[in-house]
Amino acid sequence: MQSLPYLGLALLLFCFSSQLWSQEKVSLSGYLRDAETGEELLFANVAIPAEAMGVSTNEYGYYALSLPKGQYVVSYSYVGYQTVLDTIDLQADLVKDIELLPESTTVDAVVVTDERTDENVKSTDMSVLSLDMKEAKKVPVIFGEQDIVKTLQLMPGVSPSSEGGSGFFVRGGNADQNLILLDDAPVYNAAHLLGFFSVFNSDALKDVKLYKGGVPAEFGGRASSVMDVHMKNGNSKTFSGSGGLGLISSRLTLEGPIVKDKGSFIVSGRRTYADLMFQLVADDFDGGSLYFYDLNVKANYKLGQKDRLYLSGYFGRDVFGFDGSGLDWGNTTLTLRWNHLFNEKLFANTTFVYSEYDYGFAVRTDNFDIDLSAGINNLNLKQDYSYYLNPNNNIKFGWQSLYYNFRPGSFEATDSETDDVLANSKLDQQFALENAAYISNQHKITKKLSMNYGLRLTSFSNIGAATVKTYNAANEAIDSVSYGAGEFFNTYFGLEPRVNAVYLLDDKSSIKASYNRIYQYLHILSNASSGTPTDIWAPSTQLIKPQYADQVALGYFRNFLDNKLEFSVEGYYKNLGNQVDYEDGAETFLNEDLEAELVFGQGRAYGMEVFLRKRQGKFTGWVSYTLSKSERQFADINNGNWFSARQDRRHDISVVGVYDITKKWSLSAAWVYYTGDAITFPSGKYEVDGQIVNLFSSRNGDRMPDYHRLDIGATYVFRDSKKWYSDINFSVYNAYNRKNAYSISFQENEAGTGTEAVRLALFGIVPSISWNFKF
Amino acid sequence: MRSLSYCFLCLLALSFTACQDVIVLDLDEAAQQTIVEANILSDAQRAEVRLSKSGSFYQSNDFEMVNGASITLSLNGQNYSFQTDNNGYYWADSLQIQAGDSAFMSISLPDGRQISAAAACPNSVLLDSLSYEEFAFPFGGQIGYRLYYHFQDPADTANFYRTKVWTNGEIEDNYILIEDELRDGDYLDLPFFGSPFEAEDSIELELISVNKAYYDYFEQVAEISESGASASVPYNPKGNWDDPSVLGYFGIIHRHQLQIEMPQ
Repeated sequence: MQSLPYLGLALLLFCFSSQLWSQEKVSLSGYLRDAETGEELLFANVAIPAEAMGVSTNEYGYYALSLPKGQYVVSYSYVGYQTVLDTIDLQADLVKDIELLPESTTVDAVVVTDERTDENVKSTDMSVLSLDMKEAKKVPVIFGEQDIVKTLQLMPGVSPSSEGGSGFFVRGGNADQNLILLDDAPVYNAAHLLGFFSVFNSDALKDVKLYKGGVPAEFGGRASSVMDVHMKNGNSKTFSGSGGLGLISSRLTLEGPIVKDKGSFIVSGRRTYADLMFQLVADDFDGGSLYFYDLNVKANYKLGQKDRLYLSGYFGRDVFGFDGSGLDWGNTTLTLRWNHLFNEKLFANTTFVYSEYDYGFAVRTDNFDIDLSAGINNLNLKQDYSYYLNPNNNIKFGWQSLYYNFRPGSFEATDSETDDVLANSKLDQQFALENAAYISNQHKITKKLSMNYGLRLTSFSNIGAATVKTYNAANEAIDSVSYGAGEFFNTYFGLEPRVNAVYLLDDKSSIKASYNRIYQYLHILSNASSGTPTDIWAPSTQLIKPQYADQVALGYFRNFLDNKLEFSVEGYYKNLGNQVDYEDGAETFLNEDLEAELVFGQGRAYGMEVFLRKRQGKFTGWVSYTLSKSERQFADINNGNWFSARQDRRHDISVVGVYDITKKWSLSAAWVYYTGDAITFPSGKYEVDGQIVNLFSSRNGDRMPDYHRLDIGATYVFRDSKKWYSDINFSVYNAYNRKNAYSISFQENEAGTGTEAVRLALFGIVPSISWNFKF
Repeated sequence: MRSLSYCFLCLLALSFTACQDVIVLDLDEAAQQTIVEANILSDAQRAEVRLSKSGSFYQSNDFEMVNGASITLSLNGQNYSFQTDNNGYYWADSLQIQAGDSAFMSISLPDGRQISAAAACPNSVLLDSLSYEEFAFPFGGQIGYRLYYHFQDPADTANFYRTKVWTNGEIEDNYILIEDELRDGDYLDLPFFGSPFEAEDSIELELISVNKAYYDYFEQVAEISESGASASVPYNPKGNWDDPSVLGYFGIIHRHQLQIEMPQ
C-alpha cells in the first residue's frame, strides 16, 4: 500500500508535464445533438481523421478539442446516426454545435459518409458494455416488457441472478457489488415484482453504460461494476409522445420544449395492471392491490451559452396487499444538476442528489395490527470538472460527499381496537459520511498508445448517535461504547488507482489492459439465497471492514468489414477482500447484535469473455461467450476451504440476432445457455421429532441443471411517418418450452415413505404481444 | 414473508406456465451421522431418547437405529437409568422435575463417543382457550377460518414456546416457534399462521413450553426447511451436545393441548 501514493504522485506529474507542449492553439468545442429531438448524444465521436486525432463527447454531449490554427475536416459520428464531415478554417476559438440525423432518415442537405466508428478499438475503454435504446428495443424479452438490464444480461460477463430476474452478477461479483446510477442517483433496489422487472422504463432512457472493469476514477463505491444510466432530456424541438400497451403494463411518455431550443421536459410513466385483471376474475378482490409503477420526470433549461440546469426525478413503487395487510417497497431519486462552461476548455458539473429506498410490511387482523419498515436514504453533493488541456490530454477531476441514513428496521404490534402498543422493537438508525476526490487524465501518449490513468481517494466515517458493542466468541455483547449525535468515529480511508491503456496494432486492432482498485463501504446483509425486497443495505463499521476489489484485465480488440463487425476477447482476474457472510443459523430479522453473527473472508473471480457484435446494417446482433470461475473462502464456512460462489457459472453463451426483413417487418431471436448455479444439495437425511431433515456436507458443492432458452420476436410497423409511428410486437419467451429449474426443493413424498427432489420451473412458453406508438 | 409467498403465487398464476415435477439428481453421499434426540417431558415426568443414524437421500424413511448406548440423567441429586427395547428408543419414568430445575444427561454411544448436555426446565404454561375468526382468501373468494390461541406468558423470565397443530388428526407440517422477548408477561392472543381452516374441521393445538436449546435447535430446523427464493443457505442445525459431530439436541418441554371445532 505504501507505494500507492508515490504511484499517484508520479501519475499526476506525468499528466501535468504535458502542459508544456501546448502552444499557439485555439479550441473547437460544442455539443452534439440529435437533429430530430435535440437530445444530446453522449460518448459520440469527434475526430480529425487527417491528424489521427479525436475525442468523445462527455456525458452531457459536450466536446472540446484544442488545435493549432489551420484548416481541418472534422468528422462527427455516433452509432445509429449519419456521420457528418465538416470543413472548418480554425483561426480563433470556435464553438460548433452539430446535429446528427438518425440513420433511417434520408436527407441530402449535409455531407454524409458511410464511414463507421472504430471507437471500440481505439478508445481506452475496456470491459465496458454500452447499449443503445433502439438496439435494446428489438431484443425479445419476457412479457414483452423491454428491460435494459435483461438485455445487458445477454452480454459477456453479466449474468442474471435468477430466471427472468432483473438482478445481475458482473464478473463473478455479488449482486450488491453493482453501483446502479440513474442520472447520478444511486438506485438501491433496482427491481420490481420480486425481481422480475427492473425499475428502468426504457421509454425514459437515453443511454446506458456498464463498466465491468477498468472503472474510471470518477466512479466508485461498489466493488464489481458501475451501471451508469442516463435519462432523456426531452425533445427540445417539438412536442412529442410515445407509449405502448403490453400484457403486463402500459406506458406513456410526453416530452417537448419549454422554450424551443432552450429547455425541454419529459414525463414518462408506466403502471402494471395485474390487480385490475384480478378484479375482473375474482369477486372479492376489492380490497386487494397488486401493481407497480414508475414515474420518470426531467426538465432542463439553458440559462445562457454557458449554463444549463437539469432537474430529474424517479419515483417507483411496488404495492401488494389486501384488506390493509401487505408489502410495499420503492425507490425515490432526485437529481439537480448545473452544467457550467468556465471557458471552452473547462466544463464543470455540480450535482445534488437525494436517493431513498424503503419497504413496509403490514398485517391487519381483528385482534392486532403489525407494522414493519426499513430503508436507506442518502444525500449526495458532487462536482465534476473536465479540462480539455490539449488534444492529447483531457483531465477530469472532482469530489463527492455522500451522507447516509440507514434504517435497519422497526417493528410495532398494536391492538386493533384500542391501538395500545402490544410490542415494539426498533433497531438503531445508523449514519455515515462517504467522501471521495479524484483526478484522472485521458492521455494520448503516441499515435499508437493512449492511457487513462487516475487516482481516487475515498473515506468513510460512521457518525453518532451510536452504541458500538464488542462481542465474545459466543456472540454475547461484553462491552459497549456510546457516541453522541453528530460525533464522527471509525474512519476508513481508501486509495484507488485506476489505469487503462490501449495500444493500436494497426487501423483495425488493438491491445488493451486495465487495473482498478475499488473500495465498497456498504453491504447488503441477506442470508437468503436470492434477493428480496426486504434486503437492506448496511454500512461498514468497526467490525465490518470495507470490501475491496482489485481487478486486472487484458484484451484484444479487432474490427472487421469496415468496422461493421466488432470483435473482442478479454481476460480478467479479480481479487475480492473483506467479503461478508453469515454464520450458519444467523438470526437476520430485527437482530440488534447481527454483526456478531457475521463472518469475514475473501473471494476471487477470473475468466475470459469473447464478444462478436454487429451494430449496423439490416442484420444486427451479437454472440457472447464467457468462461469463468468465482470462489469464496471463509474460515468458518466449509471448513475454511474455497467454495464456489453461487454465481459461479463455468460457461455462459448468448446469441442475439435482429433482422430487418423489410421496412415493415423485423424478426429477432435470442438464445442463452449457462452452467447451473453452484448450490448445496442434501447429501443425506435424518429424522428429528418425526420430521425428515436434510443432511448437508460441502457448501455449494452441487450444481443446478444447466440453463438454456430460446426467445423469438417479430415486429410489424403499421406506419412510420414524422407525425405518427406505430408497431406491434409479438414475442415468445422460452420458445421450446425448456423446464429450467427456478428452484429445487427436497421434501417428503406424498406417501411419507421417502424423499424426493421437486423442480419448480417458473416459465414455460410465454407468448406476449405489445403495441407501441410515437407521435 | 408469508405475504411474499402470496405475491409469488400470484405471479405464477399470472404466467399460467409454472410447473412442478419430480426430478432425479445425482447426489453425493455424506458419511453416516448419529442423531441424538433427547427430551424430558415435564408434564409426564418422563425422559425419552431416540438414537438413530442418517441415511442416503433416496432411501426410504426407515432409518438405522442405534442400540447398546448407556444413558444417565442427573436431576436434583438423583441419577436415573434408562430402559430400552433395543429399537433405538430409551426411556426413564417417574422423574421428579419442575420449572427451574437443571438436568444433566450423559450418553456413552456404542461407537465409543461420550457426549453430554445440560438443560433447564421451562415454566409449565397452560393454554387458556382457542378461538377462530372468519377469513376470506384474497384471490379465491373462498371463506376459511383463522385459529387463535390465548395464554398468559409468565413475567420476568425468558419463555420459549413451540406450537403444534393437528387438523382432523393430521399434523400441520410447519414449525411455529415463539419467544416472549418483546411481550414478556403479556396475555397473548396469537393467530395460527397456517393455511386457513375449513368448516367443520376439528383442530387440536398443543402449546409446548420449551427450554432455550430446544427453541434454538428447531429454529434452525425451521430455517433450513424453507424452500424457494427466500430460503436460507443450507447447513446442519447445531444442538447443545458437547460433541459437535453429533446431531440433535437435549430439550426439556411441557405440553398442553386444547381442541376446537370449526363451525358448519
